[in-house]
Amino acid sequence: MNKFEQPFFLKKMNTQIGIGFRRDFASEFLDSKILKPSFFELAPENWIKLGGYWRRVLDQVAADYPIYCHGLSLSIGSPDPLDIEFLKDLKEFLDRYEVEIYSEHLSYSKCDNAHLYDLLPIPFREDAVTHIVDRIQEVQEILGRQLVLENVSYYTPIGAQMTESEFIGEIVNRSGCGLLLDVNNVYVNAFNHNYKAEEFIKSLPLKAVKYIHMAGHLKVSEDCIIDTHGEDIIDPVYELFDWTLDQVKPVPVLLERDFNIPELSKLQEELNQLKAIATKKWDTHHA
Amino acid sequence: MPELKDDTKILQGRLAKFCRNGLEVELEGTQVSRLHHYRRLVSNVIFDALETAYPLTKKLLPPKKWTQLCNKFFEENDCSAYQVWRMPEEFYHYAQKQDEIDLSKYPFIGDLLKLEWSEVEYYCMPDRAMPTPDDRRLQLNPEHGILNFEWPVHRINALHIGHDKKGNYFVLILREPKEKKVRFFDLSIAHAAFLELLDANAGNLQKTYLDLNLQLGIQDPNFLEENLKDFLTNMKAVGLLI
Repeated sequence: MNKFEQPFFLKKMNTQIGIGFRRDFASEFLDSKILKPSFFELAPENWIKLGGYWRRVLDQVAADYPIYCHGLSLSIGSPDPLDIEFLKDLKEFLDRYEVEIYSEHLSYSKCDNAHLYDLLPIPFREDAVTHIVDRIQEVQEILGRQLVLENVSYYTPIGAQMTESEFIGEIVNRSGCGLLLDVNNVYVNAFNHNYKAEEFIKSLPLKAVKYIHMAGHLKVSEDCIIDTHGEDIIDPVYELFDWTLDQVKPVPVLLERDFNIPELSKLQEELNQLKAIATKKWDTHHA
Repeated sequence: MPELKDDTKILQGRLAKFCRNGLEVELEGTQVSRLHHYRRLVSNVIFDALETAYPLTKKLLPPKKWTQLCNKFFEENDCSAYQVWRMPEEFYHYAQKQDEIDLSKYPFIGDLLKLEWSEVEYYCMPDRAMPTPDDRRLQLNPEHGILNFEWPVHRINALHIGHDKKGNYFVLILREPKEKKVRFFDLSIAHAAFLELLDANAGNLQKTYLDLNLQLGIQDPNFLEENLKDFLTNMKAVGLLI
C-alpha cells in the first residue's frame, strides 16, 4: 500500500454521489433545496488564494459539504519541471479544507514554460512512464497525500509505443498513485479509437480505483466524440457504469457537468440515477 | 529525475506549439484530422478567459482585431499563471508592448485594460487584514487602491473618448466590506494626494492636513478640514475609512 493511502477500513462505506462545483453556478447550487449531493468537487486552481466574495462562498461550501479536489494545472506528464510554488499553494489549500481526495489528469497542460489551460495527451511511451512515476512520487511527498490520476479522453494518440491501458497500468502500479476511473472517458476513447470499453476497463489496475467520474459528451462527427461535460449522460454510459461497478470496490462517484447546466431538478435526477445504480451494486456486493 | 527522451519531448513541444499557433505540424503517430480539436479546445479556454476579463475592450475593438490580438497573445506570450483567471493580467501587459497589431486608433487601450483588470484583481484578491478601529486615527480599509489614468476610461464609454480628453485622472478602487463588490470612485488630484498621505501617515489626520497644506501651498490651516468634511463622510459611508 502506498504510504499516503488511507486504509480502506477507515473510509466511509456509504455510497457517495457528488457534483462539480463551479463559480458560474455557485449561488444556484448553494441556495438550492433541490440539489442534494453527498459532496462537491472543485478545481483548486480556481479557488486558491481567492478572497472576498468567493472566499466566503468557498467557506460556506466547506462548512456544509465534504470537498474533493480535481486539479487542472499539475501537468504531471509535462516535459517541464514541476511547479513547486504551485504545489506549496496547493498543499496549503488541501490542508485548510481537509480535502480527502485530490485527483488530477494523466495528461499535460504546460510545455516550454507556458500554460495551455487544457489537457493534452501524453505519448504512451516507456520513458514517459518513468518520468511520470518519478514526478508522482515527488508530488505525493510534497502534498503528504496520495495523488489520484484520471484516465483522460483523447482524440488522437501521439507517437504511441504502448497501449493506453499498458501506459496507465504501468504508471499506477509503479508509482502507487490512485486511479480515477472516468467511465465516460473510457466510452469516448473506446468509440474514438475503436476498442471495447469493457475490455479496456478490465485491463486496468482496478484495485487502485479511488474515485469515479461520470459525464455527458457530444458526438461531433460520425467517428468522433468530444468529452464536453455539457450534455446529459447517455444510456450506454450508464450501462457501462453499471457494468463497471461490479469490477470495483465502493468509491465516491462524481457527476461532471460544467456547461449547459439544466434545471437543478434534472441534475438531481442524474444524481439519483447514479445513486440507484451504485446502491444496487455496492450495497449488495459489499454489505 | 529520469529525463524524457528528446524525441518524446519534441513531440510534446510540437503539439503544444500547434495548439498555440494553429500552424500545420508533423507529429508521428497521430490522426492528423483530429488534431484541430486540441487547438480549438485550448483556444476556447483562452478566448473565454479574455472575454470574461475584458468585456469593454472586446466591445471596443473590431471583432477581427480582437481575435488577432488574442491569437497573437496566446502564440507569443508564455502564460506563466497556473490559475486561468490570472492569465488575463499577462494579456494587459502584452497588449501594450506588442506593435504588430495597429492599435493607434485607441490610445487609451492601456488604461481601459488596466481598469478592467483591476476590477478582476480586486474582486478576487486574497483578504487583507482589516485594522481595528482606533479613535486617534482614521484608518484605511486595506482593500483599496488608487489608479492613475491618462484617459477618462472610468467616466466615458471608450468609443466616445476624444483626443482632447487626455489628462491626469485618479480613481479610487475599493472592495467594499459588506458585499465585497468592487467599486470605482472618481478622485480629484487633491483627494488622491490626501488619501496617499493619510496612508503614509498611518491614519494621522492632523499630520496629513499639515503635509497636504505644504504640498498644495495652502496658507489657511483650517481650509482642508473644512473642505474635506463631505469627502471624509462619503468615504466612511462606502467603507474606505474606518
